[in-house]
Amino acid sequence: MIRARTHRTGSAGAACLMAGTAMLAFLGAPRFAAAQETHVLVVVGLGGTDAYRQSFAGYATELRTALTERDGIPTDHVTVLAERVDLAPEVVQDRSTKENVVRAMGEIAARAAPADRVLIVLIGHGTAQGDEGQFNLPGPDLSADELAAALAAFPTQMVAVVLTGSSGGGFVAPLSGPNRIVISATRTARERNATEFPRYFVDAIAGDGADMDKDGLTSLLEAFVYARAEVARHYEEENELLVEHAVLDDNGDGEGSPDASATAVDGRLAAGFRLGRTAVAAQATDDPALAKLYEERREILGRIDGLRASRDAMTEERYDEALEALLVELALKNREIKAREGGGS
Amino acid sequence: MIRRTALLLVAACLTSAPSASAQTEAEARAALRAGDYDQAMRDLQRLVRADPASVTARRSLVEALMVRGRYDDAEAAAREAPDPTAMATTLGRVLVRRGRLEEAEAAFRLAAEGGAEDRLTAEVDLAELLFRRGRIDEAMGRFDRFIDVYNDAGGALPARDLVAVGRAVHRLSRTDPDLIQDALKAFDEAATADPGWAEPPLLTGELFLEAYESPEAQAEFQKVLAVNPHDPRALLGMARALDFDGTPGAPERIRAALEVNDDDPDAHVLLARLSVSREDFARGEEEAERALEVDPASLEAMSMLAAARFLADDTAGFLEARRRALRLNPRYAGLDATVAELAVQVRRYGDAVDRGATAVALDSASWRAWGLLGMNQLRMGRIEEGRADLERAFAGDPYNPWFKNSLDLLDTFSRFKTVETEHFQLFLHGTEADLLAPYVSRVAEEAWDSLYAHYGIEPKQPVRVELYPSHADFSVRTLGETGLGALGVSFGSVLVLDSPAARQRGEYNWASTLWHELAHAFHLAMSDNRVPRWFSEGLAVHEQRKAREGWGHQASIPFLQALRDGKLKKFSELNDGFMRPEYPEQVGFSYFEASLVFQLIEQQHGFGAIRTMLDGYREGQTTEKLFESVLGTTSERFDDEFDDYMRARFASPLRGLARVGETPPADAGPDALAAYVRAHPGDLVARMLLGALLVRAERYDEAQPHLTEALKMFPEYGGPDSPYYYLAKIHEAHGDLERAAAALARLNALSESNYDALLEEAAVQDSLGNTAASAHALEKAVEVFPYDLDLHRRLAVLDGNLGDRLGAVRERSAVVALDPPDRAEALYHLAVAQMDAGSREDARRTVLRALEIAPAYEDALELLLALRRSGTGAP
Repeated sequence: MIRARTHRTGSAGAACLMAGTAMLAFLGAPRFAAAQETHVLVVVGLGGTDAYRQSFAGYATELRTALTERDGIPTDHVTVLAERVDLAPEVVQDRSTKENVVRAMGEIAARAAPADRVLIVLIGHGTAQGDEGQFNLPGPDLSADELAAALAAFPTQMVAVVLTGSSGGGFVAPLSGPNRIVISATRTARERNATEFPRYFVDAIAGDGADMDKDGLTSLLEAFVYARAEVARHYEEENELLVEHAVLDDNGDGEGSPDASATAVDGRLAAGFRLGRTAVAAQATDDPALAKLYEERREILGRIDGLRASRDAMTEERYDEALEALLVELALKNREIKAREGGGS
Repeated sequence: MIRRTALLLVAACLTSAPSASAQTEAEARAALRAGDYDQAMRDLQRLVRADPASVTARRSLVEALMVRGRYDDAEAAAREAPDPTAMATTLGRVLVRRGRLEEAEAAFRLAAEGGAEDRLTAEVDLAELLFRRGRIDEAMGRFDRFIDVYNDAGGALPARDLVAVGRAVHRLSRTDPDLIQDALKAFDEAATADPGWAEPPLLTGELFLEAYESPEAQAEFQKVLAVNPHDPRALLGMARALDFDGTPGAPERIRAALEVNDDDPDAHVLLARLSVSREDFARGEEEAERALEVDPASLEAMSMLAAARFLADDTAGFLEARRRALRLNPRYAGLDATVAELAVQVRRYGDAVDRGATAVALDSASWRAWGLLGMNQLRMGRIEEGRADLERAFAGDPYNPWFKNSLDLLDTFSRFKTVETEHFQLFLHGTEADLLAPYVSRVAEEAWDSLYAHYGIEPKQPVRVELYPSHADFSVRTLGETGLGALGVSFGSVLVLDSPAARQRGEYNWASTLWHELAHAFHLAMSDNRVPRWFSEGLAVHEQRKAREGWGHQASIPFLQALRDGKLKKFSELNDGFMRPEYPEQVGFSYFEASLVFQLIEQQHGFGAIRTMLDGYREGQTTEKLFESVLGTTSERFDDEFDDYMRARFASPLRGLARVGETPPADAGPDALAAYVRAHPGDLVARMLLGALLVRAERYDEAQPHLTEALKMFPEYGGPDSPYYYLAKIHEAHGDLERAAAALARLNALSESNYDALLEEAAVQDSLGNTAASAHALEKAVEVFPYDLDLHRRLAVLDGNLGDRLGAVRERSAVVALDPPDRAEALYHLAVAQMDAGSREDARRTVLRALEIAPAYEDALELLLALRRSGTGAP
């Protein structure tokens, strides 16, 4: 039996994740939150059966709810196209024909600012023509090349495309590029079985389980790592062979990595593409005292990052001593912030 | 290729000078080659009488007489030759066979130095004789000359001489393993030169067998048997190959060889080996003595004699046999190596090491002995010594797959972690050591305490427990090769098991297997490794069941059908059920059957009788004697008594399995089955099948009576298709969770690895608010499959609710060890559990690790402050 374990980074992996989290904390600087907006296109393809149609519609609904209500993305920034509008009329704006998909992308391109972010999530079945992927839509399918051509409308924005279905691996190379994040549920176009990935990806975005660094935000890297691990666990619990192997590419080399992290070949951009809002991330305040406290907290987090980066140069005892001191300082600062915010301590 | 010059392939035909009547002699030789020995003898005797000077006819006559075991006649025929030199080689071979080695040496020298036509054969026979006598350097010098013989011949050697070259080069491979290929090539050329001659394929087959290539060896022997189905060497070669493979058929081949010559020493040596392997030491000794009657100089027979006596604890007899062999060949390592090899088969690994060490001291080029020494040092936990000796063995014999596999496995040992407990040294793979160590050590120490209470002795400590996540690695560690069907093995104070990762979920309970193997450690220690196989296996299963009702082999429908049909081994033949099963399932049945022996003994005589018997084995007593002295019976009487016991014990299910008709298959549909059950309401299998079918169709009310009836017939059945399972489903469907829980609890008490049923029981018990029962079910599930994150999380919560703080720490540690995606959260929960358990410092270290990953983790930050407050009063 193939032991499809939950994602086991082991101690070396944990070190990578910690280092990656150091990067995350640093990237959590206020710059992005003020001006940058996020635009989302969710495309639900052909279900094939009622069961798939229902579940795909459910994922899309859950995703939209999470993005708008939890992550604070304006509803007019989230477009959902599906095989049938009647399956979720409160959520689906139009049918997910190729024409409508391309048009929706054009509309987003027209309104998006140069530094905005775009998230495109494809929920449905894929097929393959040789090594090239096709996404099944009502009417003509959408090929990887066609999607890549449509993405040319976003020359400056950071674009993330998440292919949650079968054969998504056939899209990685064609979509790969600078400032692009491509997440695929499958390593190649030849992994043709229906996937478990969308369920866990949506869980990651909608819940807290993927927020591994507990900053109240879920990055696409965190969502990818979480979904990949949960997929593996699902197959193991079902005593089945693992037939889908998710990958992430964000360094533009056209090769997806299964073990992406903030310090690996792939994962840095995805680590910075974060969704959600928390007291840590929310930077906007009119209270100068509170703003000062936020700044002080960021400064402490920065010192923690610095300490973590120099871990190897210290004995374990000294390191833990120094870390604890900073964490205590951070904890006390949090209490001050909570008290100031009116949340108590 | 023979070294020094390139070979030329030229076919050469063996021709003989025509004598009395070429046509008649050719016919006689054809009869000989076809195995019509008696006809050949008659014809050849006539030819020799007509032409006493015919060397070829006389040689063939001697060969025929030898094959039939008429050694006196063979010797006389050889001696009566008008030209002694021409027949000297043949005479020498007769004398070798009869153990008269000095005379044989003189005969070979006469042929070699006297310029006999077959002098090369005489040369190699002489060299082999010298080798046999321990004059190794002299022999090797003579073998070495054959390389020049071959190279100087320019491809013009006849088949007979090519065979001589091949034999010599084979011997030279002792110090240059690559020469095995050259030996094969020479035999191959001989076969081409004389396609009808059996000698080349026989030698090739024997060489393949030596190089562990059993299929190739069998193919060569089959070539000979296709022409002559009575060829004794081919028959014995096949027997050895089958025994090597563990495939049935060896005794039949040996019997066929004995039909040709009832006195064949090689056949008796092989019978001796098989007997000793089956722990029938007396028979082994008899067969070895029988071989020595014909060939009193047979080192192989002396080795078997020594082994039989050694393992029967006849020290004086063993030393006598050994002295005899060393008088003949002061450097003969084969005897001690053979004893070592057979000692392993009866689990006397310490003796195997001692004998192996003695063998290599006699002959440092005995790679077999180095290998036996190394492999058994590994089995005794002497890893570095074992590795060094195996490296030496492999350098000398690179064809040995066991050496290579074992050395490759040793190379992976750096990836394992060692965890010490009070009595154990756990050797666990680095990827799962942190997860498994707490559970394995808990079960191991519990088993230790229980077994110590039963036996009052302690095996050598620490007991080393190795768990392999790869079943292939477990198999190599045990045997040196893959393909072992077992789950665990005990070498005394070294236990080797499959890790749960090596098996499909639901088919293996690692805790139960560990208990079984540890029981062996106690039995071996108490009996000084003299306990017979059936005894130790049966008692280990009995110990499993004493630990947990559902552990170990259980009564199953196939077992009961075998009992019904008389297909189980009688008690007195139980060892054969393990060592020489008649069908694959018989091994598993023998485990359960043997355990029932101990149920009966304990019932009638108390556990003390079992301890007394173990002591008796240590003192060298036989099973027969112990049954008389301790149980007051004979094994023959016990055969009947035990059979009666089993039939009484399982009377009810046996009635349900009485053949009353042809049970329809499961896919026959419920109506056909229902009709059958109406006609045969006492058919256990039909009731079970029908009940299951109806439950799957959600016809619960119809199903329940059938399942209830089946349970009345066989209430102790806990298999995956047990009525308990389906009744639980019915109760759940009816919302009767109490009864569902009771059915699942009973099922799980009777089975050891039904993972899904354990999870289901936990869930039902949880719904009923039975926290302790739910936790208990999950703990049992960990013993089947410890890799489920949710299980450990759930169990941590339950343990917390039950106030089992150490349990909660253990479970939270397991979650961390399983490396979940949200590691920070897992560490946080562990820290909380550690704090609750009073381990403030552990909690502090753990929460730091959580915060290292996620510094903004508010709950963890608060926990850190709480820990500091509780420790120093500081914030």
